[in-house]
Amino acid sequence: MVQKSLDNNSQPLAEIDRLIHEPARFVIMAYLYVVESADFLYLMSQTGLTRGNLSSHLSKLETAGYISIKKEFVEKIPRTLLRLTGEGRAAFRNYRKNMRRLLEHLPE
Amino acid sequence: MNNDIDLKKIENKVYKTYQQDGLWDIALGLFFLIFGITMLFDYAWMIGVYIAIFVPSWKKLRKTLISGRLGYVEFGAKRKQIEKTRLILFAIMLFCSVLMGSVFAFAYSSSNEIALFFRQLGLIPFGIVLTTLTIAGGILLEMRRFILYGVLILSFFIAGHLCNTDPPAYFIILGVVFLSTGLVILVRFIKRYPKQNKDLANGTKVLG
Repeated sequence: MVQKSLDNNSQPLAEIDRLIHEPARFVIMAYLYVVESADFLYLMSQTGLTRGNLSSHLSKLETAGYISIKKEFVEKIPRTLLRLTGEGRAAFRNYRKNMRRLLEHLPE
Repeated sequence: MNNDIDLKKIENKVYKTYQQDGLWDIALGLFFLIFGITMLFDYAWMIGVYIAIFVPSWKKLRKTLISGRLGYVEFGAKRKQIEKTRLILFAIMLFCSVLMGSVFAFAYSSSNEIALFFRQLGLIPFGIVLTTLTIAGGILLEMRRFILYGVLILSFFIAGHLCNTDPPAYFIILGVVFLSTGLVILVRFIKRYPKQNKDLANGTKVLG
């Protein structure tokens, strides 16, 4: 029955963005979605990811064009700010929409 | 890893995390403590020291404390708008409170029936003003414990008046309570978010 239900709604399943679907990247995207920008340290403290893990996921998201990394100086101290690009925001919105659609059609 | 996926909750959590360093409580505690000591020993200069030294250095202290531990976040336009509206409301409340305080002070010093009525109330009207401001500050910063602080302030002012306690005593007790709470929260914050090295804090060498 579940298979049948999934078959009937296979379109949203195919549209799920696998890059965002990975839990760690999903959390990173969610945190960046609710703010304008954040730095590396903040994401690390909030997501609970290790330095290497977070760095690796950020690189993947940057390669996909979902986040932008901007370096700036504030009072002579370097700061690396991460923010979702327009494409990243749209992808995250789409991901949520597709997931909601998919889950709505699942039987109880 | 955190599994919270409610975006509103995440945004709220991000905002609240920034207020959980205990420095707001310490500022409030110091205000009450210094006010109490000033009343007790007539050290008016202490309020001057609080305003001249602690208030300007507080923001810098907070920035120093947070930046190397929690990191930096720039909030979205919606949050900024909410903050702006709340700040305007707080400024209006502060203005009204100062105005009310001045009216009370004037009423206490005059010699008619109104003055008699106010003298019977003791410092309760000032307690109401301080309570209102503390609760408003709590709502502004989304810190529920400040609502409790407000209730505590009013209770102390009423109890102090009914028990004929000297005002400096409850000012000092309230100050110690808020200051201690702030210090406990600060220690917890420091333990939870240890100071990170500069490379990690600013993202260099990590993101290339």
